[in-house]
Amino acid sequence: MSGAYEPDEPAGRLRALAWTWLEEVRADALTRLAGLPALAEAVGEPTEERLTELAVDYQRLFGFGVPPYESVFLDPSAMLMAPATARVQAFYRRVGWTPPDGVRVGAADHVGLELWLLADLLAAGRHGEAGDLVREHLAFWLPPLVLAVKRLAPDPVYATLADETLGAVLVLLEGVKAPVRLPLLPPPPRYEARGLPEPANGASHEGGLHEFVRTLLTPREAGLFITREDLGRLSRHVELPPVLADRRAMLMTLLRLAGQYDEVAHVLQGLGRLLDEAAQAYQAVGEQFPAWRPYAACWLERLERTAAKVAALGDSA
Amino acid sequence: MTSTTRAVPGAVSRAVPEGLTDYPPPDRWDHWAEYDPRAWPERKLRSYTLIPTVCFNCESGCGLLAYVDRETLEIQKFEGNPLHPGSRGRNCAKGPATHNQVYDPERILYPLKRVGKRGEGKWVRVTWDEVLDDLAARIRRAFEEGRHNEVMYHVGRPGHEGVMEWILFAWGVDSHNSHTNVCSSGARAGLAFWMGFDRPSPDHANARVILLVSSHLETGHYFNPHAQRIMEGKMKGAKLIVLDTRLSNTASLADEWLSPWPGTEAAILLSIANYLIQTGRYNREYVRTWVNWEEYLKHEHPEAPRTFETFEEKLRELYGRYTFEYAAQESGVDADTIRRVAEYVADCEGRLATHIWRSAAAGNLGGWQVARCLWFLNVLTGSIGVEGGTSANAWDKWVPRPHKLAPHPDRWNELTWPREYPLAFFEMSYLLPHFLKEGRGRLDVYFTRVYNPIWTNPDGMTWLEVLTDEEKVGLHVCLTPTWSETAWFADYVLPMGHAPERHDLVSYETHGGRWIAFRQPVRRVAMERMGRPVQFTYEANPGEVWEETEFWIELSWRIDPDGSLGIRQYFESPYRPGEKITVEEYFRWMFENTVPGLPEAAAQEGLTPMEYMRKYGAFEIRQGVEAPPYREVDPALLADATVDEETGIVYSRVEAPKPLHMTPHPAFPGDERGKPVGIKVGDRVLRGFDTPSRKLEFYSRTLVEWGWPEYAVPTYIKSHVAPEKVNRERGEFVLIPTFRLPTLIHTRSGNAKWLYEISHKNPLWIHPEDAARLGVRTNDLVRVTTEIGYFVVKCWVTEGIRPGVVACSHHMGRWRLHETGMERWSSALVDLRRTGEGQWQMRQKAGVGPFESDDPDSKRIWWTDVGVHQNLTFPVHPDPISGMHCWHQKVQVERAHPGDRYGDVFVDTDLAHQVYREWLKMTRPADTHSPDGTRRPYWLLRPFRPTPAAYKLPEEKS
Repeated sequence: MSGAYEPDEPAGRLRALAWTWLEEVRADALTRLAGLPALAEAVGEPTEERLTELAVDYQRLFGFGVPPYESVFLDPSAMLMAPATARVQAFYRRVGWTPPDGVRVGAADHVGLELWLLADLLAAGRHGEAGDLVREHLAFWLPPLVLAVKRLAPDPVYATLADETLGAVLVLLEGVKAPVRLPLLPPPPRYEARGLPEPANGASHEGGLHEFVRTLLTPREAGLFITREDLGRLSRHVELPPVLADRRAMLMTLLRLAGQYDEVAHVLQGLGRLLDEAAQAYQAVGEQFPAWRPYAACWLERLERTAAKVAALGDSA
Repeated sequence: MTSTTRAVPGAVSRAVPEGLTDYPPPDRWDHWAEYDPRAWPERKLRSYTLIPTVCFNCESGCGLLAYVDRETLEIQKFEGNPLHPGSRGRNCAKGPATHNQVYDPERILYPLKRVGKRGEGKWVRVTWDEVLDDLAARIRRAFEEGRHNEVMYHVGRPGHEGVMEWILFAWGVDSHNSHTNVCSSGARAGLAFWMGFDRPSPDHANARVILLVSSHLETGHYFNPHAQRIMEGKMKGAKLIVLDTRLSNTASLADEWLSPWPGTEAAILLSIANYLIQTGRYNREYVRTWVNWEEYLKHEHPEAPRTFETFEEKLRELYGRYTFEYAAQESGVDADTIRRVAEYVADCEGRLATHIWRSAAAGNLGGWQVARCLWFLNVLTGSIGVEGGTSANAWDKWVPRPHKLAPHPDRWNELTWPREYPLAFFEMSYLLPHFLKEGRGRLDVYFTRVYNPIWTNPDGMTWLEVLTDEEKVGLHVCLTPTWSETAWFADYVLPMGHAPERHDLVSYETHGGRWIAFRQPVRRVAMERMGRPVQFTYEANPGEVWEETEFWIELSWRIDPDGSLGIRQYFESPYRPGEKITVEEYFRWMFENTVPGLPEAAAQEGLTPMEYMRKYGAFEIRQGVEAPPYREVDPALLADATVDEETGIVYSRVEAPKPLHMTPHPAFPGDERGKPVGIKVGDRVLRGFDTPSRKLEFYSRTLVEWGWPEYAVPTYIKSHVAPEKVNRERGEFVLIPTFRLPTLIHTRSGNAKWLYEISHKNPLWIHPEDAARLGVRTNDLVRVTTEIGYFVVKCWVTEGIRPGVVACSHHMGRWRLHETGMERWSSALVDLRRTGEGQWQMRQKAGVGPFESDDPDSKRIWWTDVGVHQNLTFPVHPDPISGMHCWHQKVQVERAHPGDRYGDVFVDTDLAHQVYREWLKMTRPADTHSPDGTRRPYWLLRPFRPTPAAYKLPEEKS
């Protein structure tokens, strides 16, 4: 189904966006991004130095910062190759699409692959299926992905990429009016130790601190993807040292240290601000793309629930 | 009622119950369907192909069974492989947690190259082709210019039997480096001086007495396979005796727990030996037959009658002073307890299973003698190579020989095998940065493989200084499945697969038996089963995660594409002459040719050997204990044999057939009589032990000849932390920093959240008496000062440690940084301040007081910080004989100073270098002590042994 598209056609633009998500900007960027002048302008002269700079930022954003996979955002496990991935693969099978050879990603639900498929469907005139892909998949998770990327203060190329992608996808979101729900996916396996009760005088809330951390770091529940950099920023804000670890360990340690040094309230305020900013961002997207508002409601509802949990923890601390 | 498919000797036993089963029956592994638990209450069938692999999360090599979804290729879960002879389907928490590691969204998915300064934290993705071309060109240039020793491969966690011998021999380098001298060299040396082999293989399940100088039920080498067999032994009535200063989980299950002052274990063991000797309750016939007592008498008592009775008399004299009372006085363990243990040992009826690995042997100056004294009990009770006793590792292990192995290298690398340590029992790896600082050499290409020396080794700041110096380390290539402190200071970070993402062959001495197991990239295998083969494993793994074996094949091919360096020939396919070997062919050839019994077992099932291993993942070569020393020598070798009348050693000029395996063995070049092949025992010629005397060497001529006559026989060496060297009145303690936490994997647990959830802190164990004296309670902060710095940690007041001793697990303490994400990496040095020449401070923000809690116990239990990195504050302590880093530290423990914060670390690397120089003075170098102008006794085991010619010291020095 894949083919060469005119760069200034929607499918061509989507293909160029897909490439830019899938790999670093190459020396042929200006040709490849011909249909996306804003992006080409952000790249500037593709000198070796500039391309290296962009490659470093690409690794920072997508290697260390935000894994751009649907399952990370939609699956209750927030892991790769989760049931959410299987759902994407099922869609690929349904439309008879196979990811292109030679593209090696962590899992099949990489945003670049979904955009690639979208380009192929549009180019083939299969607008109905393209609409399904947007409605059932991309519309759910692209905005929180974009939000997380933009919080990482990306190079203008990647900020533009995020904006352009959001626009190119959400503009296809027509006719969605009814409330939408995040796709029903099974809960993650619970092999984890449930843990002993938390200290009665401390972080006493439903499910304990472990559950609280799990919730915050699971976009499907929290309403946003919290990056390591977010956690580092929070730590610095309260003058506590972050640790070299995965997000879970970082947040756990931050909360514990905050408890030790009487900074819980400040950490929770910081988390609250993060949630507020996310809510504002979703509302802004909803204003720009009214058809996305039912999706926004999904995420806003989650943010609200998370904010309530943060507040409850603050009350009990 | 069971049915069994076992028909061929050596085949994996597959007794399958006909009713309910613990595991899917193997004949249905290809197509296994079960309801998806996550879809409940909907009954949704999912179809799997079950593919065996081998866990990579410690050294045990337990079997795993991956449930790979046939539709999505998702790995649903890992369970145990019931056909794996070592683990038998039972796994610890680390096995199933592999799932976390594979699907961790934050893992390294692509090869990365640094840009900017080393350690600055700027990385770009590169292709494997770019990596291979760059490395190959650089290594080729080094070889062409004769700089072979500047290419070094340094391994942390091995777990791939034989591969690196194949690779590095082909490259013609003596460039292997390992972590062993911070791990097990002490125990290895102690055992090897006795019997040639350097690891014990106890038959716990059939023992009457199990004596552990370790904590094997919870941690330690092969702990899971051992633990299940220790419990079997106990259920059959065995007594479990544990020497461990700490009340470990193992000690808590023991019949007798002995908590000695660290370093006095040998005194206890010798008092037990003495009891056996003085009471005559030892196996006289065994000792008479298999101990080199005649050699002892000849050299130490030349005037005395050379009779066994004289030897017995000398034994009584030698060990008479090791009374229970003396041992009690030294160790602090009650004499009656030691006596009771001695009685158990005396009653063991030749079934004494012993084990020691790190623990005391790794903690103390002279710790290698603890292992030697422990083995002495096996010798005296005749519990060697018999059911319920203890064997040598090589008797229960099998490393198949590959299709083509290059000759041993004709080079010697003094960066790893310096002259000061001619008897060291592995590379002096942790001294490498000091050697580089002293200008003893440089590294052009330095591979670290699943190795994190900055964090794991003592004196990590010295490592950091060297790794950031591009004059000393030209190119640092880090092969790793996860990020680590060391990876951050690499030039390339190359993602290598976890357990289900790679091919490896493993074989370990887990019990009385012998087996091999096959680690497999399960998605690749699943794709092949479904008719979708790939060329390279990284095409099947997530992202571009690769496996080492393929990586090395490709790199070697590119180093010598035209064969002019003589390397290429070893990487040509045995099936397609002149063409590059594939990873499948590499293993296939071994399975077809050098694993006894496997081809027959496979044929029995209509499979090729490769298909058999792909399907079952393991093959049991032998069940039960077998000891080669007691076997008759092959009569063919005796056709041209000479017997040395004095020693009984039999030499043969008949060339022995090349062994099918390459399991490390001591080597004897022989003389004009040929090579030693056995020893006369009565009128028979038996193989004997792999030692110069062909006997168990109670008396080590090797130690005498190489300048250590005082340690010629098993003895008690006073540790650097002996009681009289620690002034408790001045607040001095002994710190035990060597123990593991059962569910962690050194530095590789970070992305296994289930494991992290179970274990997450390393408080300082301190006895209530000491705590009261210092005025500290559980969770209070204390400052622990070593010779080169200090760290600040919380204490845990417990009777599980003896007074005067403190303990802190080494599995904790990842670094504390100021930033996260990209910044978190690059800001490591910001938080890690250089406060003066050689002085480093890692600290938190000042001005916050220590934690106080209304419920400190529960807070302690669920404290989820990452602990304190104590190893940074340890100087190197190289034992002058074994080369082992002696981990125990004499420290000062005091209440935290004003302004101290949890996790503070201060280190002075200049002081660290001074301590290194102090310990260096204890050595007796080959230059001045070699009896024959060589660098090292040739017979002693040495990994990647060079040719005999390379052993010669340079003329001007010898």
